[in-house]
Amino acid sequence: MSFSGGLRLTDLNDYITPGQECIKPVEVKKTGSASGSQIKVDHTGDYYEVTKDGEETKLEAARITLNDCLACSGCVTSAETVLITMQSHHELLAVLEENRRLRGLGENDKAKHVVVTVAPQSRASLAVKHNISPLSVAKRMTAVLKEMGVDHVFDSAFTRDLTLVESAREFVERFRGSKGQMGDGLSLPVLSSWCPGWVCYAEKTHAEVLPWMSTTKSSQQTMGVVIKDYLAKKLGVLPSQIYHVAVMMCYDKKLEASRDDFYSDIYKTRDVDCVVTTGEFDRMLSEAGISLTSVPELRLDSLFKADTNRDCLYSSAGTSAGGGLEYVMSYAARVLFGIDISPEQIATCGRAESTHPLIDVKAVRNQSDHREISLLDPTTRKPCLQFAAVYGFRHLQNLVRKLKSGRAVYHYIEVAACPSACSNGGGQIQPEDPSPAAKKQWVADTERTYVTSGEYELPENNPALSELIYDWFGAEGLDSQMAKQALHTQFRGIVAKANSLGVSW
Amino acid sequence: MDIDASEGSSVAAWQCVDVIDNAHKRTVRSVAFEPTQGRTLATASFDGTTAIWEKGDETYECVATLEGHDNEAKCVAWAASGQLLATCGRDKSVWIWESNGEGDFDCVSVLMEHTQDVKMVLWHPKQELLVSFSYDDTIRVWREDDDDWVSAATITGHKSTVWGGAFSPQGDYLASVSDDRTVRVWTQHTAGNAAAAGSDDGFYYRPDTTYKCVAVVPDSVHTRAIYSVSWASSPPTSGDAGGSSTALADLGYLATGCGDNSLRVFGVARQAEESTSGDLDVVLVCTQENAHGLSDINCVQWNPVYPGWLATSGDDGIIRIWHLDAMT
Repeated sequence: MSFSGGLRLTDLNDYITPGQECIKPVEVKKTGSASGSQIKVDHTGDYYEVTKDGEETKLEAARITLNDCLACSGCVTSAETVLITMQSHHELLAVLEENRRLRGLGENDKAKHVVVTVAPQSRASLAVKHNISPLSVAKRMTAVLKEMGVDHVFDSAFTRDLTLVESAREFVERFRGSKGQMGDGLSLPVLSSWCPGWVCYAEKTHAEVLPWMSTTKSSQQTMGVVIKDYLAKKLGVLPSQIYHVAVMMCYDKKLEASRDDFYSDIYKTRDVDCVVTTGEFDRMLSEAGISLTSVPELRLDSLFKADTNRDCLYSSAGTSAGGGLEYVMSYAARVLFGIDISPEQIATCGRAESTHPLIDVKAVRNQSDHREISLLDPTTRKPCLQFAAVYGFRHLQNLVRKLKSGRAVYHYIEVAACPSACSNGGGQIQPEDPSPAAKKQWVADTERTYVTSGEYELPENNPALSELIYDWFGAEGLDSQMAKQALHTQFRGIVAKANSLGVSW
Repeated sequence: MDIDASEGSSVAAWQCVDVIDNAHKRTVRSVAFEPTQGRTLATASFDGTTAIWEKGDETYECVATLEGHDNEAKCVAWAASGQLLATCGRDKSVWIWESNGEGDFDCVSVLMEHTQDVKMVLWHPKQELLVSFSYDDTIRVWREDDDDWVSAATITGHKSTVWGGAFSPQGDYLASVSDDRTVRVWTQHTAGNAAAAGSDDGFYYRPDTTYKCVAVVPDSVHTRAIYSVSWASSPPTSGDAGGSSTALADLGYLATGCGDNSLRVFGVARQAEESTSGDLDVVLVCTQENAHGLSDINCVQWNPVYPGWLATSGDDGIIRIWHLDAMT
């Protein structure tokens, strides 16, 4: 069980002073009676509030659910992380088992529609372990999951295309709004917010940077809305009748899925019901005695006419962080400065595999996990867009220090909590050899596999994406109110509670 | 042999030259001067921050604040080069910072392998090798690998919290003290080469390095937890008393500060020629009971320049300067 660095440092705290951090019991509604009522406990152990005139009202037990704990962010003790295993492949198996039972009884209506979304970084990890191509992994996962009773198997790279476009639009709007200036009170820099390890750490410890966070949702949560809103309508079912599982590269994604913002009060359902890590998925197969390499390939699933016969994977140019930096820079270059440069060209420069006269790449202090990528103006050769990619907790520290002291002169920063970004997620499959050298090689292999997974396709050239946008949001597309609602989220800083019980040495 | 507190002696008149008020919001737990110039001071506090102070004309000014520890910072230490700083804290982490040349520091690494509160960090006197001591009963050795810091070794053996340690002046041995009332001395050990232990290999990292314990002061000597240890070399000697102590302490003297209110000095020597185990003899040479009255002694430090001088601090709020006759 390995959360990202920031989360481990700030959230897994075994030293909880009594009655301090947990605020949930306090939120039980009081009956509002006048003073002078007494509490009575009967022989069954139930509590009753007895008013002056002898009227007894049974008191509700204060309940704290796993999700209350996870989403509150006030504390997550390492004891409670054990509870997070409830959000594992066992839950998925339980739902599939329940479906089988209900269908066996002829109660098809009660059975849930099960959808599994798979992340490209997870596929890369499985590809490296089983020594097959990511496309083959995708096809075999489709086969094995459908065999187990899953109705649909989708790719989060699809909604990632949507988030890339939306992030780029958000960036351009904010750039124009602050005329390219960055700083306190301004809309720049834009900090990417798809990484839940970064978001939880920032909310807990550095709330001052929250105004700069991109409000565009991550691909996981965007898929959540697609499934629970768009797909539910298409199928003619309630969102709560769909059970949505995401196979992802880290445990932090489990916390992301549990956020209150991604829970519908109306339908009493989460956009993503359960997150299973790559490692947990692999364990699920081996526990069932299934070997991924011996499962036959099945055609990739799709919701859209436009790509039903697709036989390749969607891929975005860029690192396993998802290609946000490359796409946003390419889009902004075109829209703001009329410069034509593809995300792929930016990505290969970023990897030091090629050069481009208008791209300047610098590895800060020689660290590949802390790179500055600038777009140069063709006439003046001065940077017109200064972006940065910051991966890993120690570089994140330096970024935050710079932001707080006003020394970060970037327009856009791609932030990932893990060194080498998502290829090295805490939930990815680990190499058999635990030595640091082997681990390093394994991560490098995963990253390379990820980068070469499929055809690079620009989101604007993805016909299925256009089909989704206009079918879902109508003629106004991404400019519609509905799109803004569905594709954006918000952040809240956690205020440290005053420690009245603890002694301040 | 005697230790005496040189009170009232003009030789040891110490004056307070500066006070930095309101330096931190909570207890200032650890302070360290930068070793090459001595004009910079780092202070680690229970408020989680480490402040860097530069000596100006009149007083010290805060030039940087290193944040990052999630709760109390317990110790700060400078590497011999003056370029690296290490901090540790109750959040179980060890942070390594590098000077950026402009008075500020960049975080180089955040090491989260201890499973409990980290009490102290200590740099090797010559190499860029870091050691940390923890409530999880272990000592960890850290080294730089490529562009990051990694765990080089975990030294186990103490049965309770390891409060701190000290390197021998040459850096070939490490002494550690613990809540288990023992002092242990460690050195690098390359498998299959016992004779090399403690020799020019010293405490240097090699891929097949392990660390072995070459001496233990049993738990009968100190009657409470030992909080601090300091290691001085044997001074160049002359005279009878000096002669006999050289044989007893060719590797120097360890001073320990203990919860039983006593200050103790031990002589450290290599064992007789015939022994090839590399083990050392650590022999008690004197004890000063109730060195701070009925208070714990929480820190001891040998004077790095003048042999035989020792400073101790106690829970009585007093700092005492001692002189060990036999060492001059």
